[in-house]
Amino acid sequence: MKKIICAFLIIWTLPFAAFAAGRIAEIWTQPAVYKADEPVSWFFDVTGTDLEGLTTGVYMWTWFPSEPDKDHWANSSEFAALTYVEGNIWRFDLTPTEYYGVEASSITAFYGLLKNKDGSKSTDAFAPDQDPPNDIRMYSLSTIQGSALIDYYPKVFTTDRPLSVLINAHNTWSGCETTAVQGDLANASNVHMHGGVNLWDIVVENNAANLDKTELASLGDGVYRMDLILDDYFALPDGYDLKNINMVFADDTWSHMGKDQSCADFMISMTEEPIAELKFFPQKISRKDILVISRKNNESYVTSLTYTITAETAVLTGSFEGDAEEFKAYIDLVTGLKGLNPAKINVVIKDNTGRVITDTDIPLVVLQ
Amino acid sequence: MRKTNYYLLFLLLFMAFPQGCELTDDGTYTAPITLYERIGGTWAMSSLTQVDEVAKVNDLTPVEEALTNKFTFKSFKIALHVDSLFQPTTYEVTGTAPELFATSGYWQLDEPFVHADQTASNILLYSDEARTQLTDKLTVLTIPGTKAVLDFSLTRMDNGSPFVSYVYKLKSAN
Repeated sequence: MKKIICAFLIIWTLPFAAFAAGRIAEIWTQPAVYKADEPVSWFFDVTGTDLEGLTTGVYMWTWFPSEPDKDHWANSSEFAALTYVEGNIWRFDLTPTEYYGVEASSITAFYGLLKNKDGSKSTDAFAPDQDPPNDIRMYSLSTIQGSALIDYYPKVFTTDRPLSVLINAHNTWSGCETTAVQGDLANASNVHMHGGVNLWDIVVENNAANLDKTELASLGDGVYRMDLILDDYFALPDGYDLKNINMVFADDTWSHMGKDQSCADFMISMTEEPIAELKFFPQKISRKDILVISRKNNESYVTSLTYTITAETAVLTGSFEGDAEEFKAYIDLVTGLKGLNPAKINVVIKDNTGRVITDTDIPLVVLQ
Repeated sequence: MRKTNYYLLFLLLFMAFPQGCELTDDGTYTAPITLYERIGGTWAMSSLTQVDEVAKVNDLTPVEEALTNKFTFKSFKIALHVDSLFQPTTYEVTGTAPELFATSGYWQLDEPFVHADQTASNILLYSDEARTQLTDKLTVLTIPGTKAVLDFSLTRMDNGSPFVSYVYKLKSAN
């Protein structure tokens, strides 16, 4: 009889719990990127739910990828208990494969909710089908295991929440001053981040004193992960207007390095950047002409542009004039290519961060 | 009646011709005034504009770039020399501006007079005195008149189609 009442109670409370118990205000994980067989902490802000105000007795109730505390709705097990953090924030520490008792490959999503011990109070479900999404996600490593050099997660982040930066040491560049090499960082026995914010305004160096802090975790296959909370890592002052994160990777002795394409510093930009417009003038050009290059609507971090033009033995270099609204370069090919008769010119444009904006060949009209 | 009319017309024409061709009666022959008298001389840079002829035809932007204050185009001067009979001789460009066309040689106009069909006159530049080696062609846009200005354009062609022009606006520097 008792069992029947209990079952009835569960059936009665579940829909109630699912539809009227309040949406979890925020969910995040530490680290932001983790593998299913790695320890992770899930954080929940239960403000606005029936659990708001509790400081003890909050439990995990989850039904996918398995049901670890099955049949205990009315009396949650202690292994399902969350740890109180502060305010309305609760933490659940687990290794997903162990907690759910399934293979990593079976873990594709998480469905569940939070409740009090006897199930009289709960939150709405966290699940991937919520709109807007309100779930615990697992970053897929497929992007960074492919041809990507760098990635980060979550894509929308704040300075007070965990962020994971991933690099693929097989794909990063080094040695551009002499002969550019891809993948040398994969030969390193350890990988550290030399990091900065707002174009190296605040820097955490990869040096002997910082080795613990700057070390990345190896995820295998040349993929390395840096876990950080930006406010803490860079000791950002209150109200700091963070625009971008700047990174170069190397081992502890700087004998192997990993940089972006053309050995530019890596950059993650937080600001909504305008779409820049690069134009060459005129549309067709000969070796006896003036070439004008303009770049309008430059990104906020672009403060200068330089060009290098090569044609046969000639190398023409210079800086653009103007400002971020429009940078312009006037290049005298007549004088620069005197005595030569190249069929094309190669144009490389870089910005102040070392980023290659373009590396392109322009054919020259053969004059009759 | 019709025969008489033709006869009269013929007579009128006959009378008109010898008079038009008659030498002036002041004793000396004066050649007609040619464009050489107006175009010959030294001209200095007022402005220089580069025109993208491909963009112009295809409605793309930009079509023009002002080059006057770029490099040392301001220092550009061209001297188109003529002899005492106002016949073209040599020319030379001075200053340190990028050399968009050959900076010295021989010149002449494609016709010494304004074209009867209203098309623009052309200053032809040669590397040799016999004027067999054409180096560049400058199309005259404004012929010096009451204002001592000379405008011409240098147009580059790719398989018969213009792709870039330089419009020079010059003032007298005689």
